[in-house]
Amino acid sequence: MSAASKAMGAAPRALRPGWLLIPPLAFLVVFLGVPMLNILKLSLQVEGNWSLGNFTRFFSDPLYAKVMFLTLKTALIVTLSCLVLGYPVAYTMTFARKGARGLILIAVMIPFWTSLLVRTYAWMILLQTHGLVNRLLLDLRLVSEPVKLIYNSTGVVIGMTHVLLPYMILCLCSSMESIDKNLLAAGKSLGGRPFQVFSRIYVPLSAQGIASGSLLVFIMGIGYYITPALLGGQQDTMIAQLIQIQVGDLLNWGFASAIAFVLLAVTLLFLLVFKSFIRLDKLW
Amino acid sequence: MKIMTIAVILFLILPVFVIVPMSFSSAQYLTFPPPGFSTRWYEKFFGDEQWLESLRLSLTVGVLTTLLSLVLGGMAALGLSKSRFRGKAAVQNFLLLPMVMPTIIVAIAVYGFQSRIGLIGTTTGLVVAHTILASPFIVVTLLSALASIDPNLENAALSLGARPATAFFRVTLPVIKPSLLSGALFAFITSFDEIVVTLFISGVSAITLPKKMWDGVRTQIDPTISAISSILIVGIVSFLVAAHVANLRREVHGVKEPSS
Amino acid sequence: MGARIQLIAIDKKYKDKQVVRSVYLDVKPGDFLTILGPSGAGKTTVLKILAGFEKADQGQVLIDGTDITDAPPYKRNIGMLFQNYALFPHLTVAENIAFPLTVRKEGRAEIDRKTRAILERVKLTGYEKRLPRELSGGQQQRVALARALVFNPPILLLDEPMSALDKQLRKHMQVEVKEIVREIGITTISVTHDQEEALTMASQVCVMENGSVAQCADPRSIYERPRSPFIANFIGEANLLKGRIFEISGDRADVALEAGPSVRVSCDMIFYAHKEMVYVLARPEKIQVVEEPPAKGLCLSGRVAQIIYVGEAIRLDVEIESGETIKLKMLSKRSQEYSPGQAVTIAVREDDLALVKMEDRP
Repeated sequence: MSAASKAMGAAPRALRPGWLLIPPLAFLVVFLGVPMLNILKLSLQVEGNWSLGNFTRFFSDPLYAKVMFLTLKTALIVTLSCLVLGYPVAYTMTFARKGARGLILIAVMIPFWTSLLVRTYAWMILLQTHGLVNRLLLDLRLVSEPVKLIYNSTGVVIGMTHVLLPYMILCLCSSMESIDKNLLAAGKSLGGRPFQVFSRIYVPLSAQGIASGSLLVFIMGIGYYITPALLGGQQDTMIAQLIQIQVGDLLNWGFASAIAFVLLAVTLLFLLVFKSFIRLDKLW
Repeated sequence: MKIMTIAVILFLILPVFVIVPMSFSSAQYLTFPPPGFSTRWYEKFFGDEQWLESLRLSLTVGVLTTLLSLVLGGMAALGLSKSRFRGKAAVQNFLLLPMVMPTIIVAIAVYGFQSRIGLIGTTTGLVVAHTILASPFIVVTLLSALASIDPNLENAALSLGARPATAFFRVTLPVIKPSLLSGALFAFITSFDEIVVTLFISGVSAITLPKKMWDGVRTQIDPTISAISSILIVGIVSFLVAAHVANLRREVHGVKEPSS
Repeated sequence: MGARIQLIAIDKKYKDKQVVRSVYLDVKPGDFLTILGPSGAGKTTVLKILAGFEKADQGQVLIDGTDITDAPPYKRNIGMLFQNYALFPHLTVAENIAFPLTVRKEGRAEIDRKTRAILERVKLTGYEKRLPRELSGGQQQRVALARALVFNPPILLLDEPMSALDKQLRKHMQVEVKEIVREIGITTISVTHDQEEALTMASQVCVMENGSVAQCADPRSIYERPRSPFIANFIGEANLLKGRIFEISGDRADVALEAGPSVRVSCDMIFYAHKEMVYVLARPEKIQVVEEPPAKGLCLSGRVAQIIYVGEAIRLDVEIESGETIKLKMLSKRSQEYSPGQAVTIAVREDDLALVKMEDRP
């Protein structure tokens, strides 16, 4: 008999579709996997011998602890600002008419698609001592003399918030769209005033979006290099810049690799802990 | 709520647009508002062979990256959507890893590796690195597109006598074309704007546009950067507007019918 | 023109559930078989195994004697109409229909000729350049049918073909599709949960329950002599009265009903035994309200419990002494007037009764 007695589950094809995965996997393994293993090896070596010296150096020196702390703190502040600024926009978008929503979307997409470098450069111009922002503040008499907005943490926060805000808005939007508007109507019909309906029904329901947006922004924030490098001062060095200095300027491969892995570990830690909230495929 | 929205939107857009008038400034330094009107920075850009060379390189690397990402990412998406095996989730996560990892880590890993095998300062090295960063986006876009088309379309093609490859090229591919295009665009832009990894691996002989801009910003705040930025911005905006208009007209092809 | 289809001992398991159990089917060339059953019965899986989209764990699929169990779908030369039609959205009607012909590398002139011919058969001449999204549900179905038939396959498979259509269109298309396939002479297997569709279109009906074939027969036999209570209830309405066989000989059995009287019912003796508990089936439309008890047949007295008027017919629920409710159905006539609580006598002719086994036959 033919295949009568053979138990088969998959389709009878000579070339299984799973084989399609081999070239991309191979590519990634060779050009990313191997390099990662390489720097892992470097991080575990000090002057040719296996050792955890690089890691202990990072954790024991208060200088680096400060960098780590600053990175986390900055990312947190940026996340919160993005949340505060992004929530109204996402909210308006969800309830807007089709035409208005399209316009707001374009407005959010424009910075999103504009190169990171260009945007950061724009802020470099705006935040100068005699730049537009200070001019406005002086003209509006909000301050009596120019405020230092660049080459300090303020500039970094402003710049990073601007860059990461679209991500937050998109995440919030995508979760807000799935909130059943009938629930709000029910709340109102039960006597809830607009603010109560908003704070006690809507906001909790948008929690998924808040969580995934915050997680995304935070994770991106801790690894950021360009914006802090251009808008921050010496005392605002974040982890990514630390890595660059160690490798690019000081050629301390071992140490730099160790820092990189600490950053990776922190990133993965946050990702795994909040894994249920983030859905990357929903962004697109 | 609405006021805040408008304020935030202004916050988002104005910085981007402030560069445009700046690029027509006649002044050498970054002053705003610009003192006079001049197109000298545009002339400087288009007249400078080095700038043009970096533009050409960025375009070349962008196109090559897009093609390579489409092929690899497409294969990955197809393979993932059609197969079932234990550990598939792990494979999928690995393929999407470059998207979640901080770019700086990818940068030093790739830098270390490429300097060992001599790819620093080469177009190949850039294309490889950019493909690593761009292909996860294509995978995600295509996975979503493949999941949303009617599964019976391919089955119908098979039942009508088409082999799997034929069914893919004549039915599945045309139907997911919009997603392919947007994925390709995203890959191109990711490569064209890429700066972090490029900073490390471009060496002296593979200076892309972003790298040259970075040098300009870092060293002497060259207003030419404003001109280039404006060009990029205008390009993006016109594209987005065009896409929006096209979207308004086009209907969606081949989306799964509601169950009845 | 059509081919003979055989399914032999087909088994299929999904995870831990036996979805198809030892299914045997034999469809003669040109026949129209409908596999009927509730959702989850396994009928769609059988169709997919026939088409080649699923592989059976055990068993064989034969077409005109050739074993195609391992053949991929694109080698089976089977036409298939999908539930939601699966028309290629980026191709016109003509291009959709021409697809199987272009895959088979036929010449341009041939393709045009065949496309025109089949469009005429499904009454859609002139629609060549339209896109699927511009068509109504009924039109899409006809294009899908045309596409499945244009390359002259010996077999046509229909997956819940009418489920996406509204009631009026459904009735119309049931007849039309039946006519088209009959003219062509193609062997057709259709899968549905709509029992009216099954009885209308098929020459053979195969009822499936829980993965197994419960009964396979022509529509009339399925309706008049269902083999199990499940089938009796699934197809049309049924009154099943419990009773015990107290005498059986030749081709009939005498049954003492729990409701009281005894009846003589014709049956196939080999399936039944003396003293066996059985059901006696009486279809609602076969039950009459009578003035006096008749000489032969089943007769019961009771009270009218409910009257439901459904336009062309009246449904009468009569509660008999034992407490059971008997459903009657009669075409509404002006002289009929019943009121709830009214005492009535109902009767069924012997020939209109059937025995149904208590347990489902394996």
